[in-house]
Amino acid sequence: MISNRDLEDAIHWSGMTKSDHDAFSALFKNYFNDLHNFGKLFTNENELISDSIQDLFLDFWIKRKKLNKVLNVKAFIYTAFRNKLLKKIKKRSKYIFKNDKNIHKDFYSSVEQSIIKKEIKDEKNIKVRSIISNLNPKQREVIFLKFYKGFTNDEISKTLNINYQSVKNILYRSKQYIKKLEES
Amino acid sequence: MKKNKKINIVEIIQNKSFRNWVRFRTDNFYWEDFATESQENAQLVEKAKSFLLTYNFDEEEVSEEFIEDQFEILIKKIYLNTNSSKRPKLDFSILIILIFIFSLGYILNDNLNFFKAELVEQEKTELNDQIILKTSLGKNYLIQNEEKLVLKNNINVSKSKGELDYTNNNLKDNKIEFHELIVPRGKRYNLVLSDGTKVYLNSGSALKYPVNFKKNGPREVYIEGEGFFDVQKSSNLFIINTEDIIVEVYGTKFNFKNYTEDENSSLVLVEGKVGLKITEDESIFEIKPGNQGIFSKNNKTFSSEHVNTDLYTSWINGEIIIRSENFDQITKKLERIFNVNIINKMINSDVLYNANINTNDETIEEVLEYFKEINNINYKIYDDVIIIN
Repeated sequence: MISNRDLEDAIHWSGMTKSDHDAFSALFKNYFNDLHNFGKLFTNENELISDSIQDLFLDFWIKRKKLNKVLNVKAFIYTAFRNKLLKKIKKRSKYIFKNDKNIHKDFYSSVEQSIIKKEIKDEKNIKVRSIISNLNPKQREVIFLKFYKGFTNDEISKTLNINYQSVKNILYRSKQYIKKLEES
Repeated sequence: MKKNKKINIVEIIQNKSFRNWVRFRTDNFYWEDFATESQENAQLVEKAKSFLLTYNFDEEEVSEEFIEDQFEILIKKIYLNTNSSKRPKLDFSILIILIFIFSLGYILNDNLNFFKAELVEQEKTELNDQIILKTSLGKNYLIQNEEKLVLKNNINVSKSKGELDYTNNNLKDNKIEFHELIVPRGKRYNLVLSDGTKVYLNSGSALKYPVNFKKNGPREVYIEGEGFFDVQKSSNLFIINTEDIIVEVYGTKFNFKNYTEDENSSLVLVEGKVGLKITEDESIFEIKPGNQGIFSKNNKTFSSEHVNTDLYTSWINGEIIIRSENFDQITKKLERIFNVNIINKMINSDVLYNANINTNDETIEEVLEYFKEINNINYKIYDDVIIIN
């Protein structure tokens, strides 16, 4: 089923490949907030996120004439953005840390930090926190895309470059975790 | 959603209206009712709420002004990016103007292509706004005002303000060496070649030429951009090579324009006789005085029309005359003259403008103010990027 938003995206995207400035601008403005929030999953540095979004659209514009074969605009944009941002985080962390494992540290720390902030506000959420900390980064991404952005499983599999069955598995396990909340 | 149906926490969290209710604290009778219906429901809602509030990636909303700002930065990045990718070859946006006082020449069939050894790509350095002299030995010199130029291999090139003079150089006749003068946007520079031919190079242009012309055979130079040529009388034909076409000078004054970003090259003949031909082609298209010959890069064809030649030559005195040009054409000129990048967001490009700009004492702001007053445009200047609305 094609939603209105998907249709709008497709129109803007095809406009962009034909050098239509307005379509390009609309695409950027429609996606900025979504991608910004998505980026928050990986880092707390807003500037890094904004930079990645700009560079992403810079690439789109430069290569616009070759981008007319993109079928799922939403999945394509999220994937490209995710790659761009992770590359930037990796590049930057080279200067700070010595190895790649720290990307995940970075990832965790951002979620952890926001949890800590909340902790001060609400002491009662111990159960919730333990459940969320049991979710791994992939699960968090999947939940974000599925619950918050309304991605289909197929779109999630394309965006995160994992197979369809894995998406289903991750979703299933995540839901099981969350359901534990009910038992508390 | 039916109230009686047993609903689990995952379903609640996935429900958009529930999320909005939690996030924005909007009135929602359905969920308010649901929560008060039973103890069980109240607990469920409480847990789902705390999950969402703890797990709050979606909470932040970026303001529209912020996105607008981000978009302007993006536009600037795009502009600088597309421009710098063009820059290595320099915008050969240009007119070549030739004043030539002599006639007769012969057409050499073996048009030596050594001249076309492409202009060495200009490194992307901070040297981009400096006038540079490149020698065939690979040595580069910065040409700064009022500074003596000493070339390493003892070639004697005299230099006075805004001009290099090769007429008295001491390179032996049997040696061939090429120099290339690169003039960035926002600057102009003059050259006197070994035969006494004077070349005024306009902003964003490059000329490649031999230190000494051969005694016998045509005098050949290669140009990107715009130049005004005052060609010295000689029995040797003067040839200007460009990417697409070759200009053969038989004795004449003319103005040749070969912008890479334009679909056409054009040559305006002031007086005398000039022939154009397509590279690797034999047939010659002759231009009559007072006419402009136009070469279409797409169709590879020539045509000509009558024009006012002053409009094409005034720049050597620092004056730009604009007659019946649309804003896109004008902004291209302004970009080169003032070394700025202009993003034109105006939709109406059919309006034609007239203007006289003196580049010696007018700034880009003064020029834009003029357009603002008479044509109701709005502009913003961010360093070297200007956005026109």
